[in-house]
Amino acid sequence: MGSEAGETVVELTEEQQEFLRQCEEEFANRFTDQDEEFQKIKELPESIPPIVDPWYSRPPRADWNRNSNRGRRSYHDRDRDRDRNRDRDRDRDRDWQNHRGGSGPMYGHRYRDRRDRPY
Amino acid sequence: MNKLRKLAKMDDELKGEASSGVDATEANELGSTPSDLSTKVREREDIGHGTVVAAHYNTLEEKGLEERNKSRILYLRNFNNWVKSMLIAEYLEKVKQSKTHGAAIKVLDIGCGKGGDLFKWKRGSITHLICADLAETSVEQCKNRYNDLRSRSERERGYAPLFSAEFIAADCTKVRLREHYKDPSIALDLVSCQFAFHYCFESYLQAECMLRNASECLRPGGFFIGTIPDANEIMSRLQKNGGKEFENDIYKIEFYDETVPPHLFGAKYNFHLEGVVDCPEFLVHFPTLVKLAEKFDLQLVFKERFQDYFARQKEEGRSLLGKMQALETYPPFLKVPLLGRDPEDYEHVQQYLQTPAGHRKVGTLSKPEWEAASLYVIFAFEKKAKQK
Repeated sequence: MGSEAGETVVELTEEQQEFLRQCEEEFANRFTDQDEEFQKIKELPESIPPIVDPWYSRPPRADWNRNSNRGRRSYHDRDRDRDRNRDRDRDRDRDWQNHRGGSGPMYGHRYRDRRDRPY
Repeated sequence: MNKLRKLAKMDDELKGEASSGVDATEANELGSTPSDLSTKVREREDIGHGTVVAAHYNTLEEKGLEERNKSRILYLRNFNNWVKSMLIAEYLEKVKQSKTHGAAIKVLDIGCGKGGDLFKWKRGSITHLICADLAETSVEQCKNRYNDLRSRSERERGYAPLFSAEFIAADCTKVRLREHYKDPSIALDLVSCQFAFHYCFESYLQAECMLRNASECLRPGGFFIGTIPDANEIMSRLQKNGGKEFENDIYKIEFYDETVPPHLFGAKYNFHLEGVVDCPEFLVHFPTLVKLAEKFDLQLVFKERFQDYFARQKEEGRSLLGKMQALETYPPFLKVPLLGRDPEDYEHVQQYLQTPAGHRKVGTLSKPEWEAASLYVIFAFEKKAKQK
């Protein structure tokens, strides 16, 4: 398909060709032993998956709304906006409560507290 | 509450990360008048590639909540979403700091997909949002979701107006977005391109077009932020595994050819991620990106791999991690099966818990999911005042 047209249609300006030439020259050693940035990454030990401890997240079950706030207060983020934007935050908070009501339990746990930022 | 809304809401928070990338409806991908930028590059070969991508994304169904919860990569998706939330919030905060209180904040979301980040923009109290994506069907869904969000906002007590929005279905690697803006003189504060930018490295002209779109209407001091696969990480794993492919239980990356070094543009590999993506992507050689971005007055201010970003932000974002279920609980709750294979995918936790543990639970990701998450890197560019 498009064998006669495929590549030739792409016309680069002089300036663009020059840019590509520069890149090819400057980065000729990319992903080789001479590529320092690359080598740094390559020599890193294997990354260990995250472990967050203590961890407070409720099980994905239908009845978690009931225990919504248990054991979580001490882990709220600071509310950086609180004083400055109190009204707006209060509105947002309502917004959440409204959404939650009757929305079914499956996502009621999300983002419920306005203190949690970001978003 | 009706199921649709529930689903939409779910998606607000659980955006299929990969689906935020290039969706395509090939017949429509350039339905609007192409700018001069797009006319030359568009060739049958490109359309061929678009078709593959389109075929993939169009077969993705709106999965039900239950099915999603069961998805093997649920926590990976949530984790990626957490990264985006943190990143977006961080840069919106920077933007706000540089403006007077209450000033309008205007954002462009390139590769908005079905609108998975709409909610983040709402939480960020922005003023105006431009959503652009390749696939008309995705943009349509994004629009519906926005309208839904809007009508819900209006019904709320203490109603604060939701940001205004416009929607553009266009291939951002081939079409000059500015020609489609309601106000082409708009000054954007932030441009976001999440899990999508790497598609533009298919060719030099596409990369240029994308960067022009990112930069053109960005005000000096504004930011262009994004998340892409980390070429160094990919190439490193590739070389350690023989140079052609590497994989684990949930993903596989397979190169189309073994050209050494890989092309600066068009270094194509197939990325398969369990149940989410299976389509061609392109390696982004980062120094080339930095150099190219400079042409568009974009200066790199931040680059960090996901694992490092997490290590740095986990305290500040700790409660959000829990709320978004961005990590899996280990040992699992009763009747909530682990998504990975136990014990091999959780050896790191078992070792950790060997210390006097009692019955506490920790948050983690299974090894295969972490190997996928740690393939990605975050970047932020700042727009400089025009030179010359």
